[in-house]
Amino acid sequence: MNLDNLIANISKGDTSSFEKLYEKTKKTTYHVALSIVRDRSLAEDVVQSAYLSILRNAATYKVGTNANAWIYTIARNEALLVKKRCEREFPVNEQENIAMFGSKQIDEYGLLIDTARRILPEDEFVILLLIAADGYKRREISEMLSLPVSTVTYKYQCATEKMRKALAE
Amino acid sequence: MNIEKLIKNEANEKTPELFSEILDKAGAEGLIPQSEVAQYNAPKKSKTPKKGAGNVGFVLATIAAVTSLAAGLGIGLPLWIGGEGAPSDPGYGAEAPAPETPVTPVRRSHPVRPTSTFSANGRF
Repeated sequence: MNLDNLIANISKGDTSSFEKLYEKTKKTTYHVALSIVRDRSLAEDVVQSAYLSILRNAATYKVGTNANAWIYTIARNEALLVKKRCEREFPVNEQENIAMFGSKQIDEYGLLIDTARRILPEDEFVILLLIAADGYKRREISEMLSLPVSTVTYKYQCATEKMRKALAE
Repeated sequence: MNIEKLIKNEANEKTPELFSEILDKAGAEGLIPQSEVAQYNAPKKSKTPKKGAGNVGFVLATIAAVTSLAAGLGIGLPLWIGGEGAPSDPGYGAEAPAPETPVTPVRRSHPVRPTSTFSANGRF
């Protein structure tokens, strides 16, 4: 069953379709969230609110349009909201407050994702994860992000090159 | 170095599982009926028994059968399967009696010689 049908079923109150949609798209949603908020626990919050938003707005989705792009936009908007809310909070030194930022330790991300998180800008980070981790094609990502395929390819090459250099050091 | 493969492996390990939490929140907000949330959260019955669970049951049943049979026949059983001195025994935990010391006299093959001592003038 494709994403369009799943979203249509969700709007009719089918919980099993919601679970299937979650299983199909959870990685993408999480990586989009992580690329913006750059924090594991905040990204998890974003994923939760994004799926609640999907549940609320499933009826407004137009079948036949790009479901991946719709979910991406919801996740991105939720992440930007969380990021904005966090920027309004007072700054605290993360290294001196490990208890507060416990989930931000490197070992919980893994070396590669943590390195990518630190050195790549948002668009390169999300393109790298969507291609490498989620297995999307460049064409699909260009539709999701509303970018030309050539730009997606260029940004992906930039990201992998930066990663190679960072890991070689 | 294939960064794509490495990131894919790492991302698969690090993606959190949040569906039940999302469902709980959706239930609390009234987006999904509570009955469906409860149905999802209910522990699913496993059709295949856990490995080893059957063996434990069999061993316990065998011990119980042997114990009752032995009690019927009046045979004493070792401690570990409920015989004399087992926790169910009324005398369990009482101080054990001290073992009796042997009273067999020691027989010497040779008479005991007096130890040699020096006399006051240095002679034996």
